[in-house]
Amino acid sequence: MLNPAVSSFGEILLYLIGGIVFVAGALLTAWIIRPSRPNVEKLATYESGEEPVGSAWGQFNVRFYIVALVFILFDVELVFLFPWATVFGKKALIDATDGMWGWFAFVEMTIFVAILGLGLAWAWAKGLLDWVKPEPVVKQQGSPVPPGLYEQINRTVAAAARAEQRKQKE
Amino acid sequence: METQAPTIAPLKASLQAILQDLPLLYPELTLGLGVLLVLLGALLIPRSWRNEGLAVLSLLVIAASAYMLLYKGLPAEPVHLLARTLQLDKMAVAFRLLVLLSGLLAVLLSFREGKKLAGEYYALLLGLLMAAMLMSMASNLLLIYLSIETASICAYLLTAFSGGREGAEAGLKYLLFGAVASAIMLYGMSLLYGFTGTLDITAYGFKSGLMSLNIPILPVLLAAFLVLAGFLFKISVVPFHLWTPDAYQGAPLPAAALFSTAPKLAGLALMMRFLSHFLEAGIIFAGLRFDWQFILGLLAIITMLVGNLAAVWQQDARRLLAYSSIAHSGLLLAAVLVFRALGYKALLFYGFVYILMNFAAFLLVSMLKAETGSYKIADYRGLGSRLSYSSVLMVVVMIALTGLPPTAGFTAKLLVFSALWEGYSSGGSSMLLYLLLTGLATTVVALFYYLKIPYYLYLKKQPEAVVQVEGSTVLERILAGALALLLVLFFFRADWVMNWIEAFTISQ
Amino acid sequence: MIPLSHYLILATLLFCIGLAVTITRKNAIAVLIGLELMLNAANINLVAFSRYDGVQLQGQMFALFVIVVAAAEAAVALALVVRVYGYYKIADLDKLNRLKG
Repeated sequence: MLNPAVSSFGEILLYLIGGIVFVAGALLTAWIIRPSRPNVEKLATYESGEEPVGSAWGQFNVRFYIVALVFILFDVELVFLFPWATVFGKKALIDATDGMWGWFAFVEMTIFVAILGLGLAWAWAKGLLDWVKPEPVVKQQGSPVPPGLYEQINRTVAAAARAEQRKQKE
Repeated sequence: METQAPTIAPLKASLQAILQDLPLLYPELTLGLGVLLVLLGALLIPRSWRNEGLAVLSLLVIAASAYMLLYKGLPAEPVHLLARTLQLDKMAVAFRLLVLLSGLLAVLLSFREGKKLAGEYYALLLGLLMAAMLMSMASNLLLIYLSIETASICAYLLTAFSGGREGAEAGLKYLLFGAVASAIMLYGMSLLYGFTGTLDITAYGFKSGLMSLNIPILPVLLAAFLVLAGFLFKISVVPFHLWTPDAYQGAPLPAAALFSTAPKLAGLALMMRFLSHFLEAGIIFAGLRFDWQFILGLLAIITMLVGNLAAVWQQDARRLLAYSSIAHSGLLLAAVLVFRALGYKALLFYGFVYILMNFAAFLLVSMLKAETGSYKIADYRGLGSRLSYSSVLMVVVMIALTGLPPTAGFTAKLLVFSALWEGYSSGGSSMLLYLLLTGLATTVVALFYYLKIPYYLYLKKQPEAVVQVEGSTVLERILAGALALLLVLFFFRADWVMNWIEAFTISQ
Repeated sequence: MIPLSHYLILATLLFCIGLAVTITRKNAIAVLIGLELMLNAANINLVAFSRYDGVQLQGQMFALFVIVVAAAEAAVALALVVRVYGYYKIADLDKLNRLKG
């Protein structure tokens, strides 16, 4: 299958070259195809993320943590899939055990993934995956002025301002 | 989970062996399935009867597990399970039964607290039980680590479950102490693996590796102590006890009662198993005999002293029970150190009675909290005549915890002391005598703080009328009465318990 | 080939640094970082020793489980830190002293 002239370090080198070619190719294609309309927002390092500037001890919204925690758990559990995948389908092992090996490996991993799936479904049903927008909290200061009054004043002031603008335009 | 056997031929045999082992693990598998069922139930059962539904479901799961254990899971002779990762002998069966008993009581206690908690509470409880049962069987370093960690993570979450500042703070402190202890244990395990080339502590290679003259004694001892530190943390022995008062105060009360029994007993079983393999190796240890009894006995003495003396100053009933549980850990550890059949029997008897009296004490504190709205002992003053039922039971249970007749607490302490004495007089180390003397002396100290609650209840005058807050439920009253009754009954009928224990005696 | 002793020395150093961090630092997050160092020190040991366990590679298997357990523990720890922060507005362990007696 592999050319025996390639040493095991040579294989790694091939992987490296392949990886570089793949990434460079993708970036190059994107660069050729995409229209160029830069603006400040687009030139930021992470277009829709946090600015990577400032102290690492800065505060983030707590919702990032929750999503990160859920992600980490499912991400790391998958580490068990890699050793499993290398032996799951080995024909020699399956033949030697009259097919028992395949069923064993299959059932074990099905149970494992099913439990993980239940965990994900549970997190979903509990609403941990929703990115809830915070609702502005209206503070009740206990002042004698009813809260409706402020809005009324705001409305009248805004209406007056609009009327003023219209007059100026005319 | 062995993925690759050395040769192909035995692979089929080992797969078949795993299938044959499964029925012996039905108790644990039932609990594991129970965790999933409770999680599903927490999503599907309507809110109006969710707490009751989940509690009943958990009770059913625990009952099913106990049934499997008693009628399916009893091997004729000690067996190794799942590619020699678990060792199932009579000791393991006895400790698994004790764990299930404490789980049953914990769920029964949870009916009140459960209302305030989310459904995952019961799932974590069952997970903790499953891990504790695996702990009492584990004979492979990997399984030991995994079961301890599973139990610990469930315990951290349960601690934080009560909500509010106390819960979060206690959970974080418990977690940080616990995680450091388990990291230290893990490092010790990695060294032991390096010295012996195997993770199986029952394997011949483990013993021969430790006995080999190539490895100096100091690193081996260091590694063993690092591993023991992890076990001692679970048993809450000084100096690994710092988490105990905070966790008990912050955790929901039934969870705290469970921490003081199930993981502790499982940890003791683990320690007995580990030490028994280590002692055989240790005797020849490069020509040196290392005295485990001395070092661990010293820790047990310090634990008894610290637990009992610190308990005297406590104002909060939960912290008092926490220090009391530390003090009891010292005595339980002493029973382990006898290293004889008698010590083992005394340990089982003590463990059984300890579960009964500890859950009774936590239940009564929870009832007093419901009746007075406070955990402060000073707030119970003068209530003895008004809350006569719980006060009388409190007196009985506190006498049992002190270890005075006519309660089973006395019988249990007596058994441990006589095991220590027999161990000493039949040529054992003089450390056993010191353990015995410390146990006697600290019993006197224990009298002061255990009787503090009855003293406040009956002898102090009530300053003003206290408003009845919730009142205890009928279930709680019946359960507390039954537990107190059993404590008195087993004093007069200790042979009933002893007969049961005889059935689980291993030859040492 | 790198001899075994180098791995062991590296692991010992990592473990000691991790232990020192957990003991001396007061910030809960820093303590968690120290914990990770300790766990990974054990992992290095396990994987290094596993080289000499020709047949079964038990050490590597153990290391995989440790990684997963460490992630679970870190997730629980961070969730608790977030909650504690929500109540106290600090992550300084010395100032968490509501539970006393």
